[in-house]
Amino acid sequence: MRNVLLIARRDLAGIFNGFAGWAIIASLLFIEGVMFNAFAMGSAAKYSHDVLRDFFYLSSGFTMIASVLLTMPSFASERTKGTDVLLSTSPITDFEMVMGKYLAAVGAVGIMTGLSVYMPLLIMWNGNVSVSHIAVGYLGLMSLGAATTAIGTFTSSLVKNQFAAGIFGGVITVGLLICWLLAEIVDPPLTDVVAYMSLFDKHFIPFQEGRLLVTGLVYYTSISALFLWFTTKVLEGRRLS
Amino acid sequence: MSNEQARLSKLLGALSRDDLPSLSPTAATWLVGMFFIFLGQRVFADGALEWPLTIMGFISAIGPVAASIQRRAAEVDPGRRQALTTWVLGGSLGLFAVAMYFTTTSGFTDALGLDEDAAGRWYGVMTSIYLIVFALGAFPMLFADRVLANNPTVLPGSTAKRSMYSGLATGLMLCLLFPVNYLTSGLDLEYDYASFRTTRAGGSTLALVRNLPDPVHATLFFTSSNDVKEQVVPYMKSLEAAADGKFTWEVVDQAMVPSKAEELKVRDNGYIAFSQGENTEKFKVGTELDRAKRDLKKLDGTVQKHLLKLAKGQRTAYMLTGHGEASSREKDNPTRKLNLFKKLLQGQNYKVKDLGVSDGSADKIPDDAGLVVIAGPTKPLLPEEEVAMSEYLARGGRIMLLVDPIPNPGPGETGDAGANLLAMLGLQASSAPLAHKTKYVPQKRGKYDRILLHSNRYGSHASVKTLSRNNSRLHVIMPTVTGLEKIDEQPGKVTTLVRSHPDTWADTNTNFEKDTDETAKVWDLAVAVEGASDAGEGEKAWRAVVVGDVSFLADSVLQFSQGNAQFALDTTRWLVGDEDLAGEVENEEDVKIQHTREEDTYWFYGTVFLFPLLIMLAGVVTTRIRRRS
Repeated sequence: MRNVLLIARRDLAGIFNGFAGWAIIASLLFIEGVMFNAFAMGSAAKYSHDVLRDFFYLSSGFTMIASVLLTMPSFASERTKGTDVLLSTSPITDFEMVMGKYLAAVGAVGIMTGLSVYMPLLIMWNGNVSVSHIAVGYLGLMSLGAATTAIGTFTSSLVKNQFAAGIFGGVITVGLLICWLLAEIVDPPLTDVVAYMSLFDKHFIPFQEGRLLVTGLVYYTSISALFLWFTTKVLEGRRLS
Repeated sequence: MSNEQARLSKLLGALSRDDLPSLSPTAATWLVGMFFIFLGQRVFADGALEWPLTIMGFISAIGPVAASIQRRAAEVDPGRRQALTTWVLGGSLGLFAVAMYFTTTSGFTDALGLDEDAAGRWYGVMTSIYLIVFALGAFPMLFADRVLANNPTVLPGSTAKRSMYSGLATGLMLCLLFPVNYLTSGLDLEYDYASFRTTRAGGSTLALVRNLPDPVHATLFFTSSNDVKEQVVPYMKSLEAAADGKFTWEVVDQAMVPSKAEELKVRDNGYIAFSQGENTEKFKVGTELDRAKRDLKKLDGTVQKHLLKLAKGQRTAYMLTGHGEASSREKDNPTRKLNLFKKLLQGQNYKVKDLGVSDGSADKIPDDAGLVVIAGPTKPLLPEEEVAMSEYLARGGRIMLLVDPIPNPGPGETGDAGANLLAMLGLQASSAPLAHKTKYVPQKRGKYDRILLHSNRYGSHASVKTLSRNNSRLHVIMPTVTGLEKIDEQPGKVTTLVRSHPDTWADTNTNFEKDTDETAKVWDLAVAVEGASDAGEGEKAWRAVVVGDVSFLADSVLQFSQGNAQFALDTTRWLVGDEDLAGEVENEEDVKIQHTREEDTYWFYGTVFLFPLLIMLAGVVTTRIRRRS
């Protein structure tokens, strides 16, 4: 655990030591603020639940984008700089390395997501939504963020080029997003399976409506566990070759 | 080569040089074979391509397995032989899984003679098994393929074994995740945190129980362990605590105490009955929490309505008709539809009736009129109606007069239809709507919005006490309001209820701009007038509330403006002498968010610029501190 936290702290510091990390978060919050005013709030009077639901809908997109962006350099940059050799020869297991990098990325995504809380608090001030609704929405955002961060960590471990890692991560994420549409053209029983694999429509929508579905938590945990497992196997395979 | 082309070739070069996990041609062919079988059986099933694709897929999958068997036979390195064994076994298991798939087809189940139910169970079991078998074959095969590709001549036996175990573990992990997710989705565990709260007792209801003329007893019909009961009991406790002995309550199971149920005419659990002497009022909330949530959100309003029936009896509010007034039946103009206002009055235990010439408006206002509402007439009243109204006021009547500025009256309309009534009360109104450059509610985001005024500047009057106390969050929105002014002759005492913001002008030429001949000042938007009754000593004084707008009570405004709803409630209560009941009626139903222009500005700049700037500032400060240290 100590090694995991060591790596996590190192990577998190790397994100926030330089100004770039802060600038990325500020830029994403700026765009999120514009979208919030333009779409979630809109110009006509809207029920506060609808405003909150639309806020979480928009935030989910930003969380996924931030996850891909923040995980792009996780492993890819180590290989570009040549520091992966140091890591692989250190007395740290592949699993510890993966978990450390993953926790750092999840921490960064969590900080960025958490910093947007002023918007739902404004909705709560003006409307009639509860703290628990907001908390459930953020739990959904963090779960979604954790899953897409795991995907990004996996694709970062596959390639040396950060840009390519981001593209692959985006492709897999979009692939899981469009499972909902694919389910409509696939025959049973695959319909249910493919629909279940949908990253957003099946599992995130209840969170944005303030409903905590255990299925959603299990799904996002499964996706995270699966891609982290794959990442560990990629590193292991590289070490064995 | 252009810059773009150079960048692209650099990226492609980086990709090709990269250590992307690559498949050997045999593994790739095997996978393609499996994909063709999937296409043939699932995508093009029952089509012309079904069997050609399936057969092609089989050939593509069997070929590599056969080739691998040959390679294994020729291999000398023990580690590579072990890995090739894994490859062959894994590839064969995958093919076996495909063969198992064919046992789930209808042709096979018919051949087995299975009926529909048995075929369904067979299908479910075999599908699960073949998928597991496929995963346990494919992953070890792929891992073995990778390790063979990376070790083309010599492969340590331990590495070959590890890759096999890794592949098996990966397959097992996938096999574990699916049933875990399947079982969880079957359990269907859901917790709804979407803002369900039973209402608390509002200030108005607490005031009502505090001032009850006679004690009231509440009987809650629920079983001892019931979720809805658990929501209602705290509410009743708060009423009891405020009532000083005038309000008591108990929980009774309808089945266990049938005599009580019969006495109160309750046939089932889920009812709440209030009794005062011989009189009873009851309503149903139900016994299932999911269904009762909607009613529990409005519990305070419902309780108040029924307590008012007991404490005050039913009263009648008359809405004047026949002069183009706004009403609940308005269809064409949404700013003159007053359906919600009617419901608000009914919630306060008023029976709402029309009052036209045929009902005696030109003769005598009915004696049972607790309140008369004149909602924005566009045609003047008949002289006889004005006389009847004057007589009604003289005997202690209560009227709510809403006037509307009509700068361009249509045929049959006049811009000053309520002028005589206003004069009767010692008032006059400007004919033009008031406008303000900034204190308005943005709707169309143009200059027109400048007449959609809002205000939170209240006078010191009993009917706006609640609004004054909460003026930071309770604004009154008055779209197209006219200003009220006192005239020389004052029949009663005029007190301002709502004022406009400074620099509000009467837009006489409706260009939404302040012209030099238009005076900007603070206008009275709503006033209360109270005069002495002529009926004799000890008789109540007449009261009137005059508002320079009728659309402030329109459905489109009331549904999202709590301030407007509170104003309507409290002025009605003051008019009929229930000012001690002034206060909020709690409601946990959702509200619409509609900002004034300033709030819009604060929200926009705050959410778009302020917080991101604060983050940037935090970044600058942190990086500087780090650099220094």
